[in-house]
Amino acid sequence: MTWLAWRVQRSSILASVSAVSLVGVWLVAGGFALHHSTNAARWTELDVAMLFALPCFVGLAVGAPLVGEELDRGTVRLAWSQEASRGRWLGSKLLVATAAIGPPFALLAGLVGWWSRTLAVPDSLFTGVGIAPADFDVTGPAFVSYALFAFALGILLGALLGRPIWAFVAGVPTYVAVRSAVQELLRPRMIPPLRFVDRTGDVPAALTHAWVFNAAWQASGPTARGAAPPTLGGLPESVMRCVAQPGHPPTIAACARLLRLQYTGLYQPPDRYWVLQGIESAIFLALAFALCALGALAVRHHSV
Amino acid sequence: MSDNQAAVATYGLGKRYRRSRALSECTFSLPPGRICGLVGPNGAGKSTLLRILAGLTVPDAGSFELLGETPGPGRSGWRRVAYLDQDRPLYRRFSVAETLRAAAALNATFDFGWARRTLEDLGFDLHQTVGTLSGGQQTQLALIWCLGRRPALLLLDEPTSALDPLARESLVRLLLATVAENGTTVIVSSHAVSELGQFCDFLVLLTRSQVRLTGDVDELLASHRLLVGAAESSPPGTVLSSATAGRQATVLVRSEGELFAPGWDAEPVDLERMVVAYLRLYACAEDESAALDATTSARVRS
Repeated sequence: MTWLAWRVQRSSILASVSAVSLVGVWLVAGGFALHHSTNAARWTELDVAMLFALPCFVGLAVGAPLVGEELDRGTVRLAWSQEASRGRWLGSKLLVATAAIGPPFALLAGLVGWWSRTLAVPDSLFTGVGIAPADFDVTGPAFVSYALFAFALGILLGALLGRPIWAFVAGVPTYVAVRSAVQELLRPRMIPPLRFVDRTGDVPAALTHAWVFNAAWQASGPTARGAAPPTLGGLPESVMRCVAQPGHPPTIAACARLLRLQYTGLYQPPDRYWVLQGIESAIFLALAFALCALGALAVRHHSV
Repeated sequence: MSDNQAAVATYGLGKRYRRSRALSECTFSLPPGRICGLVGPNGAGKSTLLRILAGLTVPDAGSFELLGETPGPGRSGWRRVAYLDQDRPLYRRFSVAETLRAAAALNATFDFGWARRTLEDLGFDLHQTVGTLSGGQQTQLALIWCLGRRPALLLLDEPTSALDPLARESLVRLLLATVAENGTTVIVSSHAVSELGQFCDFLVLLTRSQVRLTGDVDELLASHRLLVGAAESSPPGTVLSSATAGRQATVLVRSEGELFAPGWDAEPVDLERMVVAYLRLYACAEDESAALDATTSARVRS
């Protein structure tokens, strides 16, 4: 059974593993260049975009044909009319494909994580500790769980749509929607975030390497009725005018003090990296599991 | 399984697709060890029936028994049932040898040595890719996959369609030799009624999703007669078809028991003639009922 699962899927698996390896080689090569370079070279946006897209594309490329291609080519009518049950047939495929794509992603996640820690160029897209989305999403178990989620999504869509290409086309926006929803709505609140308040106008030390969100300027101090001070959004115009006016203090910090403004927001400190990674990957592994279960249900009840 | 137990028994099987009815009220019983011809025009529901019996399609109505058991969930009820699909799905990128390995992987019972020997005897190159085999060779390979499972029940959907006469003959020979050796029950669907007449001893006739005629071929032939007589007299029995040439009429009649027909010459009928008469009868009946429907709806409208 394992042999058959491997033989049927080997082209999509080999193509996917090659893609992951190529990205790995590309990053290692770039890393060596970086290591020997004296100027502040760093990973480009292209590298980062590649790492973001990789779990989605590779997961779908292996998942979508897993059932979809056999439905498309009609070979299910061969495979499902034998002694082996549809459950065993699907199980062996899942086992082989997961074993084939899991380790390369784990390796790549480890490589990128090690890299971003070693790199630690202050103005890099990678902050070096990695709790902000740019680092967080391409390192650790979360990176592997994204690939498995896309893989399971491909299986279910392939089983429902019966065409691997449609499953792929439908899978990309679904993947992006789910990932964004978790990142924007869930992840900031997985652990209650901390609040910072700064009246000095300098970036607080606690925010170094932290993931900052909802940051905004506010009028400092309680208002007349004791209500929360109104939020002003980005750097207020009054501060800009103050800095520009001759005779006033020249720095933003001094102006902010003068105008009784404060900079405040929420953040997740960098030492929560592993806890957040654990929660995030648990969510995506659970989703992957649920999608596989639905895929198995679809396979079981498919009339062909 | 005792001898008098049916190899296949269906009770009111029905299947609907989105728009059309593929099968309705399908009931028949096939004794073990028989070769059953499943005949009917295109779209009559032959493939749907075979796919239901193979466990690929779930019927909307009715139930069935295979080899004396009602198949439950999973494949345990189909362990000894092999099925050859109309499209002969095979893994096109596999070699012939890999195809046999796949058959062995999917089946606990698969006679790998026999299948390999048979393929070699038929002149197959085991390293050749399945996609590059001719249509006839692909059918042979798919059939050997089925036969290698040593099934007790073999379901074949149009096994000889799109084959040249030579390939057809060798396929039928291979099938009959193996089936006779193992006492396999076979259901084989086909358009080629004359060909089925050579080896079928049981018949199920389907038109427009319904079973119209079923039974032992010899018994069916015995209860049908071709009568030749004067055109103006009425023949005995149930008239299935009639043709008049001048003052002489040739009619096909069905009658249980002895046929007493004064003034008519009775001749035995062959399978093809009988099947064609039935197909024509139900095709006409449907045209008439369709015409009736049309007039009724026209009347309702006016």
